[in-house]
Amino acid sequence: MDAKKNRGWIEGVVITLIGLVCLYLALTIPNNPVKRAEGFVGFMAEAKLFPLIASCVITILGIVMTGSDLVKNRKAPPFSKGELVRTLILLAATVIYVVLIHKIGFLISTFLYLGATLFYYNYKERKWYVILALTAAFTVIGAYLVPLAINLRLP
Amino acid sequence: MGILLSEWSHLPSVIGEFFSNPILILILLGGLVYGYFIGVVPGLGTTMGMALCLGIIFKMPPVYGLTLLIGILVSSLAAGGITACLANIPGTAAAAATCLDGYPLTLQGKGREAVGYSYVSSIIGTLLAAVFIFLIQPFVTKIALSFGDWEVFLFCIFGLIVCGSLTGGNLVKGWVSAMLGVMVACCGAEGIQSVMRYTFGNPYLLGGVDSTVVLIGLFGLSEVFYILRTEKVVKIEGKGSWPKVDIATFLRNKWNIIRSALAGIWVGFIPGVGEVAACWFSYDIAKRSSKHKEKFGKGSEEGVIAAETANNASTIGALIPALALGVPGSGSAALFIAAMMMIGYRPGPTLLLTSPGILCRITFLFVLGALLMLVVGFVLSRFAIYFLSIPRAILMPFVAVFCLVGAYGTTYTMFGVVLALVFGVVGLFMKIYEYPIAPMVLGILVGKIMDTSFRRAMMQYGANPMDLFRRPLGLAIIALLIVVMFFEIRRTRKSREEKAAEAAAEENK
Repeated sequence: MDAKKNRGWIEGVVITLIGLVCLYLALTIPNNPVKRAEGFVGFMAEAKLFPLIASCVITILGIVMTGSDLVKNRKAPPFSKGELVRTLILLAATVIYVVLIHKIGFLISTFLYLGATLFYYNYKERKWYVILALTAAFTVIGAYLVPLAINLRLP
Repeated sequence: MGILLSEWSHLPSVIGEFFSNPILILILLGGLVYGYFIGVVPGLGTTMGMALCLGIIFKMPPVYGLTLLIGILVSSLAAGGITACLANIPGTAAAAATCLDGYPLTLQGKGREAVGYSYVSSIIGTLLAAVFIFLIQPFVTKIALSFGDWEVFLFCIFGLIVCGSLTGGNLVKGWVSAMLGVMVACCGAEGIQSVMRYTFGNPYLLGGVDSTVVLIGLFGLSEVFYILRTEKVVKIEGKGSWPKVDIATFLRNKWNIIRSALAGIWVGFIPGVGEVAACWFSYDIAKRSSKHKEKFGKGSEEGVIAAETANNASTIGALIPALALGVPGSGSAALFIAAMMMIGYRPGPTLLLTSPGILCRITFLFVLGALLMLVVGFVLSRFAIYFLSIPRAILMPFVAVFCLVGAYGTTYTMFGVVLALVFGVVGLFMKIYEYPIAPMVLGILVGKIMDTSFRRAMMQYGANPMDLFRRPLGLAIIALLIVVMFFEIRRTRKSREEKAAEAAAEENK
C-alpha cells in the first residue's frame, strides 16, 4: 500500500470518528420536557432526532469512505512543507489578530495584522514604505471609514 | 380583478408624485449606491444594510422611507453576486451559488462577462418578480394559508436532494459535507421546546450558529488562507474595465431566466425557506435542464444567470406572504415589513384597504429602482472589477480584515469573530481535501427549518401521522420529490457509466 492510499484510508477513519463523536453528543441531548405523543411518533418529535440521523449518516459515510476505491485512488492533496509553514504562519497571525482585537480593539490590531501579513507576503516584490502606506490605507478604510459609513461601532 | 384594477388606477398619481419631487429620485439613487456597497462587501448583506438604515428611515416621511428601503433592497441583491464572481466570496448569503460558476469564469479571464451576467440577471429577476407580485398579490392569501409545517419540511428535503448535483463528482464527500452542515444547524436552543443542543454551556451558542458568520468563514476566510498558502501568484487574465453585457447570451437564456424567476418567486413565497435556498434550487433546475451540464461548476453563464435571477426573484417573492399576511418569507422580508410598520403601514390582509395604492407604489419603485440600477451598477461595477488587477498577496489580507469586521458587524460579539475564524479553518481543510463547501452551506441553511417543521408536524399529527399523507399540497410535493429522485439516480448512474467507459478507453490506449 503506497502513501497515497494510506492518506485516503486515514481520511475515512477521521470522518468516522467525527461521526461517532457527533453521535455521542447527540445521545446526550436531553429529551423534550413536554411529551405530546408516546412511542415512535413521540421519538420522531424529539429534539435529538435530527442530530442522531445526521451523525449516523456521517458515521456510515466515513465507513464507506474508509473502504471505498474512490477515496483510495484519489491523488494526495498538494500540501508541501513550504505551504504548511506559510499556512501555519497565516493562521497563527490571524489567531493573534483576533486575540488582539479582544484586548486592544480593531484599529491598532488591524494595523499590526495587515503590516505583518503584507510584509510577510510582499517583502520580496515591494519596498517597505509601499507596504507601510498600503497598511495604513487599508487600516483606515477597513477599520475606520467603512464601519463609520455604515454606522457600525467597532470595539 | 376589481382590487387589481383599483390598484392600477393609482399608477398615474404615483408616477406624477415621483417625478415632480426630485428628492425622491435622489433618495432612490442614494439607496442604490448604499445598497451596492452593502451588497459588494462580504458579510454585510441586505438585511444588515436595511437594519443599519432603520434609524434614518424612522425619521423620514413614509414615502421617502419606503423609497430608500426599496433602493437598498434592489441594489444590495444585485451587487451580492459581484464579489462572488470576482473573489469567490459571496457579498450576500443569497449569492453563494453564484460562486460556483462566476469565479471559474473570472479565472478564465472573463471577469467582465461574469459581472455583467450577475448584475443584469439580478435586475431581470427583480423586474419579473415585481410585475408578478403586482398581479398575484390580491389572490394569494388563500394559498399561503394552506401551507403547513409538513409541506415546508418536504420542500427542505428538495433542498438536500440538490446536494447530489453540487458535489463536483464525489457524492460521498458531498453528503458528508451536507450532514455536517445539518449538525451545525442543530446547534443552540431548538425552536419548539428550547431543548439545548451542542451548546457546551456557551451562552453565545444558545441562539444557534449565525449562518452569515459561517458563510464569511467558509467562503471568505478559507479563500484567503487557501490562496495565501502557496507562493505561486494566481494570474487572472482580466482588466479593470466596464462590465460586459452580452444581450445575445441573455436572449439565448430566456427560458432559463423565466424558469429561474418563477422558481425563485415560488421558493420565496414559502415562509422560512428564503432566497438562499432559491438560488441553489434554481441552479439545480438550470443544471438539470441545460444542454451543457458538464460546464456547470467550471464557468457556465447559465449557472450564474439562474442563481442570480432566482435569488432576486425570491426576495421579492418573499414579500408576497409578507404583504398579504404579515408573514415574512425571509430575513430581508421580515426587516422590510418591520420598517414598513415603523413608518406607518400595516402589512397584512387589510393593507390594500388601509393604504390604497401601496401595491402600485411598491411595484413602481421596484421597477424604477431596477432600471436605475442598470446604470448605477454599470458605473460602480467598473470599480468593483478592479479587484482583478490587484495582486492577491495584497488583496487577501485586506479581505481577511473585511471578513472579520463583517463577522463582528453581524453579531456585535467577539464570539462571531472567533466563529468566523473557526469556519475559515474548517473551509481551508475542506478545500485542501476536496470536500465541496456548497452542500455544507445548504445543510446549515435548510437544517434548522427542516428540523423544526418536521417535529412540529409530528406533534400536530401525533394521534394519526398517516393524515400527513392526506394533505393534497404535501402529496403534490411528494410526487415531485419522487420524480426528481428518479432523475437524480438516473443521472448518477449515467455519469458513472460514462466515467467507467472513459477509464476503460484510457486503459486500452
